Amino acid sequence: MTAPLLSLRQVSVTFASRHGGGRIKVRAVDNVSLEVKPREIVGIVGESGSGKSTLARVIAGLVEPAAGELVFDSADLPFRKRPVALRRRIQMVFQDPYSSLDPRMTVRQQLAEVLSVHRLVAPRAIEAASSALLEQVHLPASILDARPRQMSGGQRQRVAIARSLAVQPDLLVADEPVSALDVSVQAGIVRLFAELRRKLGLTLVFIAHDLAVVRHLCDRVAVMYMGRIVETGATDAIFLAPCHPYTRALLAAIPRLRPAGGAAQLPATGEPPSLVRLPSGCRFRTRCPLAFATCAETEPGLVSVSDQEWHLAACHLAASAELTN
Amino acid sequence: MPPSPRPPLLEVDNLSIAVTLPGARRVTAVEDVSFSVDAGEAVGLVGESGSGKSLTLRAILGILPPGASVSAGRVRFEGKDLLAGNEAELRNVRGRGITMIFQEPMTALNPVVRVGEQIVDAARGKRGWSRKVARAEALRLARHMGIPDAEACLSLYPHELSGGLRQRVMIAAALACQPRLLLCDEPTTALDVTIQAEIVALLASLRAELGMSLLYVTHNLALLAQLCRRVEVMYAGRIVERGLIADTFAAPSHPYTRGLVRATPDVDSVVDTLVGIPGSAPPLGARPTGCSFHPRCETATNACRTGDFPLRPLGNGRASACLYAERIGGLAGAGT
Repeated sequence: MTAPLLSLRQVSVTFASRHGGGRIKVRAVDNVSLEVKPREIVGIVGESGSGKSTLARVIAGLVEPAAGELVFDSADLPFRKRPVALRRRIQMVFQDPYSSLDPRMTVRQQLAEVLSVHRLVAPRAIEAASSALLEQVHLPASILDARPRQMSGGQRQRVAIARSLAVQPDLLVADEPVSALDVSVQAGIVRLFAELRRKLGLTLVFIAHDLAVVRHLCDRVAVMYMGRIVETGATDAIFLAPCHPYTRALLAAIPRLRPAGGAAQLPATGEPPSLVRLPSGCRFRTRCPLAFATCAETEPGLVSVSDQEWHLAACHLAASAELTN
Repeated sequence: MPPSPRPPLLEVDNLSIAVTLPGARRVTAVEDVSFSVDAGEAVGLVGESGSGKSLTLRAILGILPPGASVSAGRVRFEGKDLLAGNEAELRNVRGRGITMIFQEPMTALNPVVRVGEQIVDAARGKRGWSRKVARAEALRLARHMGIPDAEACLSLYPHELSGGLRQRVMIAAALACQPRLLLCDEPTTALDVTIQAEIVALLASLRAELGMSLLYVTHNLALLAQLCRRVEVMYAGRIVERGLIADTFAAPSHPYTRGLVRATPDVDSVVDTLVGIPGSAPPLGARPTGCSFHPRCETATNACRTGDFPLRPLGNGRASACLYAERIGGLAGAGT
């Protein structure tokens, strides 16, 4: 078995939250472990407040974890004083390229800045290197003189991806990179990520709330709810044999162009509880149609749910017939 | 075809909307758009950003943003011309006749008024109820909307609620007027899928119970397939295809609709690879000549580059603006 490129071990992130006059600590990410192999595309899905974006920012070194450790390429990945060489190997792509690109700079300036700051190419080779980067994301060199507002949303996201590729990263962390785009443009960006993995051997952590996109792109999926991973497994296992009631609820809630089969419907009711007042026991139980007494008493851990390798779910009913129909 | 017993609830005829761009340039953002909504019917208006779908919706209610104005056409609601009427007449239609819900409830709700009062005000203003009756109605609506702990929730301010709850409060305020037509401008786009599913189910049940009509604007084709019977597809300010959703999405007769369907990822299978539409929609005021879609169209020929491409009826309530509609839709021929 190949060694993972990235391992998260029992990572937790806490934020201070103002609540009723006092300040209390909220766990946005709670004891999460995850492994990403080289050249793998791992999807992290969940609704708002699930902690998926916070987890992405921990990997990229933008948020300091309160506990746990990160291992990258068999070496400890520190948050503080992360060496430049290591920072270069992990890059992030954000949801809204309009705010991650500098509105006053042309594409040429934005790419040249990265290339020269990191001294990646000789000054006279910057122009050629910039064009080559644009070619990698299928943009014409003619866009070099455009500013962000002169480009379409899809073009902006491609420029943002080109800029992150400038430092030749091994791992790309993409936080909802297609959510703000029109559907006709979205497909092209999804295909671009698949192509970058194939051509450059990139590893990708793909954060999304759109499960359909995740199914098309990812090898493996982790489903998060209220700061925890509640189910993880190969993409096919998650979509064809979802086990956790929350995963099933998410799948049931997606509108279909062609209403048909899929897993048996198991919709959730109500809204996620507040992180400030987590329910006792299983944090999904307040919305779970299958909850019973035990769920309020103890919090289920991730257990293997099928003979499929690494298909895990955190549910007291995980092994029972009620969930595996 | 036998004549329909009643005229449509809403008729939009040859509507054009002009907007002012920076530099005082006037351009046509919506051109010659016509469609209708029958009583109790749910119609979807689909298109990407900049297609003019939201402007069309706002023009119906007379709430176009500054710089935009109707340059031609008529909007009739229950036979009454809304664009010719004065502001006072329009105010009568707004609320009990037509109400609109928006994508971002935070901007539609008053931040300094408790949400319960906002529902009560809507109900009192439009239905002339006493405060007491309106309060009871607000509570009933909130419960119907699945708002948990409704009584306590109604005494909160908008910022104290989650996005999903705010959206429900806004819908409750809209429904307190018991409109005959509800205009929906992507009301679930900002919400999580589980909440979206609840709101869509709620709108569907309200349509069934109250006979309320829906005109639903979105870019999400799958969402429309759950909620609406008919669809109007807009591209670059014009309607390019219309028809029953079941037929239209199964066998689109315009390459743009076909592109949208292909670009929509299917969560139930990965058999089809995702295909995007090359290029991007033209910016306002830079619409290509001929068919607006031809620069992005794989079927386009020289004949598509010039001339006018109005919506042509294809029979069975379907229409397409494509020169090759019959071939693309796999139809035998027009009018058969």
